[in-house]
Amino acid sequence: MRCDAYPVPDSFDELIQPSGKPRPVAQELCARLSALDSADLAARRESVDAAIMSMGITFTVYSDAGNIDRAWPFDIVPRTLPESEWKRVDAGLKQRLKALNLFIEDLYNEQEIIHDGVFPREVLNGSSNFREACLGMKPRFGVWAHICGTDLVRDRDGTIYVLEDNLRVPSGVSYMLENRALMKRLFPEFFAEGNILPVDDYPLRLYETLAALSPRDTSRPVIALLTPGIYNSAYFEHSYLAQQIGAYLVEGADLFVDENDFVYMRTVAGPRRVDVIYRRVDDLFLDPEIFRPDSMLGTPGLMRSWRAGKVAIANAPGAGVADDKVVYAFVPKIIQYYLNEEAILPNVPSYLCMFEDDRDYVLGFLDELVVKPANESGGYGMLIGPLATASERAEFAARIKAQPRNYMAQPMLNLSTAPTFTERGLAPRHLDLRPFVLQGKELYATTGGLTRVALKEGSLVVNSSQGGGSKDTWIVRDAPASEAR
Amino acid sequence: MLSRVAENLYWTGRYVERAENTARLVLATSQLHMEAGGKARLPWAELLRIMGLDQHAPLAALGNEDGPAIRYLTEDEDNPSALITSLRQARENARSVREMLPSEAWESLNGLYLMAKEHLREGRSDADRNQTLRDIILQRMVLAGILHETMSHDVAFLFVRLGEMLERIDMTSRIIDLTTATRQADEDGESLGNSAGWMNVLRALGAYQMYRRHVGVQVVPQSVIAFLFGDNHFPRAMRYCLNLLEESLGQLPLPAQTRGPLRALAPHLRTDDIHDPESLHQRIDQLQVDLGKLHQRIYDQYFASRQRPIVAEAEQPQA
Repeated sequence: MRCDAYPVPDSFDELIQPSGKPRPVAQELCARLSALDSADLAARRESVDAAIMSMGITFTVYSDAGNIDRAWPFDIVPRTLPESEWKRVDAGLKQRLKALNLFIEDLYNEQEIIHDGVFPREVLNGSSNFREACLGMKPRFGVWAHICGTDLVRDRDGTIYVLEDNLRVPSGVSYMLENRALMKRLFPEFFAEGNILPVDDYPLRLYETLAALSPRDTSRPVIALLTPGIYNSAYFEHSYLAQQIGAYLVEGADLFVDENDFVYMRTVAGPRRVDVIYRRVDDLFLDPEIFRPDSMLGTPGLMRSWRAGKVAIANAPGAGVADDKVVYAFVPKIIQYYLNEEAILPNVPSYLCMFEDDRDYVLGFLDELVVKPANESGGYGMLIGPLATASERAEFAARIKAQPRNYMAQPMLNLSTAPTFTERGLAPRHLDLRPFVLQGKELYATTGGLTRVALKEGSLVVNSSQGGGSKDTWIVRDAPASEAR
Repeated sequence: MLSRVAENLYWTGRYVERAENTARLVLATSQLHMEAGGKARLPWAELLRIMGLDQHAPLAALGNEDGPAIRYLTEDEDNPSALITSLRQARENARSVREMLPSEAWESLNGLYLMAKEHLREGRSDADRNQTLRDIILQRMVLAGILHETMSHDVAFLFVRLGEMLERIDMTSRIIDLTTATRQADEDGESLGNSAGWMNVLRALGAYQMYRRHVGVQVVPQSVIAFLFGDNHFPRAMRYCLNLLEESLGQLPLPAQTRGPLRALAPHLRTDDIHDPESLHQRIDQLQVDLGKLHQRIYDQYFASRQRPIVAEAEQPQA
């Protein structure tokens, strides 16, 4: 597989410079890839597919009736980032989550940021993820969002932007871990030099983060991972993480709350108390006593127990208030307000349709912008202006006018690319990066994260539910100064 | 251990065991077929009755041909007891509790299902199919080895083993009952069948060698029955399985609750009063009824608690 035959794209390529030469961070990788002949490569790709099937790495697509899993689409060419650049990103991610947690705590308590005129009350009033049932709560360490998946993209000029903060039930970290396991299984020689930073401390850090939340003072708190069940698209991850951190994988019906507000699991030896719930169920399904009464996924009384401080829930109910594409636009100000620091990682410029000037601009330039609904995830409900038809744009314009609070728009970025294995050899495909950030007693960010890649030529949609795949992400140790010639 | 998880582990064990024994049953049947010179039609109606499928199987549609009946038993996903269905169920149960199992166990079971799915399909020759059935048995042994050697023999393991042993007694008894079917294919109606038929049963259960070593070279029907029912050391003998069931249940919480139905099974394994096909068949029927009762007690004791209303559960004393 020749890197020098690669059609260098118009976008920023993560591995290859405009001249066609590999970036320094990818030099060794390209040399190793170029040394593989096509038969060797085909054999390795086949064994990747076989390993994915036998390891059972799958994800679920809701529309696939009767077929509950699909093999995880994995590209064997890794995405590289230099350690020096990553250090700055790492600091930016931690800064951002720290500020967001201060913000959530403030919104559910004093609301000083609103009183000080930095954050408009009307944005809060229009938030579908604000939960009145959480008002007045002070979770341990002041942390609401313990696990955050931050989506990063790189534009043509090389700037890395934050595209989204996922503070509800972000998923994908298991694929980050499995992608690395796959690469090590198939290309062990790539890792021989020790220049690729490891990623596998995440499960331990996740365990420490969750264990520190236990309301009961014990060295071995009982942690339960609450899943919607086997038909959820992220079930593989739920099961995988429960196994990695030694948590019980529970469904709502496995739990009950007694009259003293303690949470128990139903076990073969009778009820057993639960200290920490890592929930992968959305707020509204958590507790039919408080939220949707028809929910079969949650457990009645969970909110009672949480409010009484008898169980910890991560992420805390209501944390999603900061996971809203309109709130997103305020994050640089939020960082400034709580930390008195400039945001290390910039936001993508955003236009909020709730403000008249912004709205007029958005409606005038719909054919150039990407319009997103405030509260959707998974890439659903978006309008990609330049690729949309006139009637689609007209339909969106009507929706924006009807519910301006619900929409925001951003310029269309030319997402960075990386060489990706296709039927016609290596070709550029667009990608993003989702690192995972933990906050409890301490702050932690994964080394790299999950690189998602749009496998269709020219596509910018990286979501696995819509034809996306993924790559191993390498943070590559900087060459020692003495070796730089 | 969560009640739901315990139940899924139990069914993983049962379905894997059922799949293996179905492979053994079909292999044994097609072996008989060859020994009959391929002329005699196999009594499929009897075989399906033995499998408890006579109510379900579209017997008329299967006709009296071998091919459709074998496909029905192995690859027909609409048949709730087909080999492929059992493997799929085992995989689905294991998938929902895979954090409890060694990761190699899941990989092995997943691979077993995918292999069976690929190879058990229409248009394969008998030789190919029989090879696939032997491969399935072998791969199931790999899975058993992974569980036995890399999983702590903890509560999770015990529930898998309960499922395996209960199912193995059930399926072993059904495979023995196959002789009833073959007897009817034979001319002789009074005896317990011929030694060729019993040798075939021993082979189907992988028991021929051990029978010869520990019982004798002659394949005597009464001796084979005594061995497969009552031997304490051969792992597919029902007495051995019952001993393991007893040992496993003894390690679970509140073992007294299952002791009654467990003890009711033991007398069925005495075989000195079995002299003709009718008494053998009756004995197997009684055994299966009492196995059903033991299953029900295990279910009520360990799995059903999650179904109880929350108030009742909360009022229970902590166990």
